[in-house]
Amino acid sequence: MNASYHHPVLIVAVPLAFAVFCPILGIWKRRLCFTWSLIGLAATAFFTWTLVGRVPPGKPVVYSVGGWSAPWGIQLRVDYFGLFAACAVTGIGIILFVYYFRFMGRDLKADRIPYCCALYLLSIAGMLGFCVTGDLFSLFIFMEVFSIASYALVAVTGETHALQAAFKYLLVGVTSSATFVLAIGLLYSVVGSLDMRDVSLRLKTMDSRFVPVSVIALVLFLVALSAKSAVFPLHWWFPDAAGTAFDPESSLLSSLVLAMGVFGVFRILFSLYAPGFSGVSAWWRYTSSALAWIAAFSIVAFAAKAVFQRDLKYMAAYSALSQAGVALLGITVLSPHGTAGSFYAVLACACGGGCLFLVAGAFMYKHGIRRIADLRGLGRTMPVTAGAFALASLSVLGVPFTVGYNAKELLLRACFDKGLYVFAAALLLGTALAAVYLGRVAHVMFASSGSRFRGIDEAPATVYGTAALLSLGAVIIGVLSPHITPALRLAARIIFSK
Amino acid sequence: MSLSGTSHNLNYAAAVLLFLIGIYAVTARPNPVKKVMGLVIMETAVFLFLVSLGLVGGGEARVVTPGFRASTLVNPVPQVIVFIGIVIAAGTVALALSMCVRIYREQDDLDHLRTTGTDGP
Amino acid sequence: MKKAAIVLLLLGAGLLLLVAVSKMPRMGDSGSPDKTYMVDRYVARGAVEAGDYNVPNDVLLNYRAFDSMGCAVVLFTAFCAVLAILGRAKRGRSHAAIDVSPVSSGMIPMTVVQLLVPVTILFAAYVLFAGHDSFGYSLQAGLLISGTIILITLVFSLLESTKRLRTGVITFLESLSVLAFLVVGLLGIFLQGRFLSFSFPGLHGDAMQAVRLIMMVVIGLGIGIATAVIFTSTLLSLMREEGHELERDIA
Repeated sequence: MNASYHHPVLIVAVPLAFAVFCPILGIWKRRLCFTWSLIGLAATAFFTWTLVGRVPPGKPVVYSVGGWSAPWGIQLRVDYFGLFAACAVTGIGIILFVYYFRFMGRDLKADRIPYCCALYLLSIAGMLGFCVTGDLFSLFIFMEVFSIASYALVAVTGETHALQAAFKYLLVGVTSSATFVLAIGLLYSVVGSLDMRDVSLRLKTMDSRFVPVSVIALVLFLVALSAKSAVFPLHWWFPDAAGTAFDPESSLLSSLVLAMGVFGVFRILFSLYAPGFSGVSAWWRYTSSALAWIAAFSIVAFAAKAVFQRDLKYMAAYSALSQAGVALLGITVLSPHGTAGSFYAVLACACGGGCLFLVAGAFMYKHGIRRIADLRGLGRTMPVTAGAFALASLSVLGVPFTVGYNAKELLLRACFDKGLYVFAAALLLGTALAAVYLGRVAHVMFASSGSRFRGIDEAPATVYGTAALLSLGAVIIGVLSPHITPALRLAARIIFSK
Repeated sequence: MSLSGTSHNLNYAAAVLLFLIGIYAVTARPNPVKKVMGLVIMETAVFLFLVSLGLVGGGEARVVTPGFRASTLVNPVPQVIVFIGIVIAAGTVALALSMCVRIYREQDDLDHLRTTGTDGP
Repeated sequence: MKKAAIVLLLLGAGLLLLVAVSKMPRMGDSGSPDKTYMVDRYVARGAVEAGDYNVPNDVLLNYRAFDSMGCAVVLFTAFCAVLAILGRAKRGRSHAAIDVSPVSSGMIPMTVVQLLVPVTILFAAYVLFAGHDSFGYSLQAGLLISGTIILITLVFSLLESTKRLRTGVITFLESLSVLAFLVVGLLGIFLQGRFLSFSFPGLHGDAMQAVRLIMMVVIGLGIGIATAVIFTSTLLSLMREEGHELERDIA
């Protein structure tokens, strides 16, 4: 039993423990809530990142909670991709939480702050549980944890538009969760197990008259997760939710929550219905291709919609939808390069897309500006923030040395490998449109004439610092990628060879 | 693809019907409280589906005393799923209703909400 | 027009689901996959391995205790969410609208409630601990208690029911279910087992059963109390009317 033996469960238990004490701390000394939560996030990051290196591709770390082995008990199964996602969640989670600090003080009533901190920690805990669990019902429960926390965090300012957007989000979210449980029931009735790996093994030897049931369950799972990752046509909750939410939460929504939805699709397609199971594999391919076409369409359609937005946050929202489409395309293209590329795309969406919201929030915080037309000249007045915007844009566009480049390169290779030239064209078209809408904002921001701003008037340090950090992160991961990509591609190849 | 198998799976078919009614209420009704009712109907339908899964013909739902024959006990796993699901549903409905309360405080008439569209406030 | 489109889509989805339903194993068939694989062990060895004669209870509290912890976490999350949106009902404040109780507080309702409440709470206590040998579970007990408190609120007044406990105590009690799971779980790690394991190396027979029972009772108590307080606070927050009271923060 080595030192990191219990880490898989501590990854989930630690943020929960910190979250549970937040309201109590709020009664006693409210000022400590933020620091307390930050310590909790740091501890969680410690337990997550110390597992790096202990999880080689293809050999997951398995932890049986309560000592009962699967399928009678719940097993946490930290595989390479789960750990990748968990590290992204904790890393980005801390950066975003620092950004929360100024906004919580300004936008929220004082007695709500401890609950806001608790909800943030709970959403991180839920996402981490989602990444590490090996049990299907456990997956659902953790999905509910971070979803419920998100519904509330969108509405927490109490502003009318945010409330209605949060309510819409809740309706879509709960409907999709109910569909997910229905799918669990359908699958359980023909397989008899709830552990994901066990189900994938039993699907291979399942009685053939039950095949339609498992296929329909697959379709239901994917529909439910498509709603969670805002895939066309179930995307309509997202622009309002991200566009009107409490500013830091918009960023969390677009970077991590959508990423979890895409990761969920990965789990269903590859861990639950593993490739190579008999009888259902043809249907597995058909549903994946259908989803791939939808993803390709959404890449282009949402990028086009972003071009016509007048409001900065709504533009960032449609941009995030387009990038989530890129990640989804990578998974549903069904090639090892595609899967590896989609994980990079998730990071690109989280760092680049999330940073766009942080920048928009900074402009809101300092000058109360939402419309793009009003941004004229702001680039010179808030140079660091504008610089972060520029870096994030480069990552979204896929300029070399950013993580966006790694994503697009791997995805294009996957498309060409499989002869899916239409998807490659969709990717390139999406990038071109991104250049248009991002370039337009940059042009307005750095315009030299007609500006009503004078001098340098930056946002507070935690605001521009976190925006800069997140956009730098996209570049740093891009630079470090030669060390990460081999393992990622190996892990992807292993999944496909099962 | 015949539907003949439905006749001995009536519970499941009824659950599916209820589920669809719930979704209809969520999507087609303008009043937020009616949408929440639709959510509850939908979730109840799913629970009905799951509990019916556990049924064993001639089985009992009883306490296991020593010397008990295993084969006639009702499947406990769907009960567990439904139990946890009910708690989750209760929490979500509470949250949904609290949002309705806040919305109601700003607009007195819930049947004709002044809604916001996409593309900015 | 929009409704017609929705109905059409739902009919299509319904057809798909009915196809699935028709191909599912026959309802009540005891040979179908879901009743013969995992379940055999729960039914045959559940009472001995997990310690409860009530099989679903030992699946909930022992085999799949992590999911029950998830359940407690979801409840706590939803509760934090409601409080983040609505704010807590301030203790001891008079709310203009609700203090004139919707139920007329005549002699009969008040007397009936005063007679009923002790019985209900006793029943709730029974349900809390009955899960071991009979049917019962801590969550239902918590709901019973919170229902009782709401009854008191309706028949007497909001002022009365919020006066009893300090806000700090109430806040602590709300976190109790997740705390109980975490404490027992981490104790499991410290005692050389895994998170939430109830059997440890070096403990056999009666000692093991005693330890297991204590841990499950601790969790059960935590869930019961926390559920009671959470549902009560949620309902009180929903009843609270903003704007009728001064918005002064109680630090």
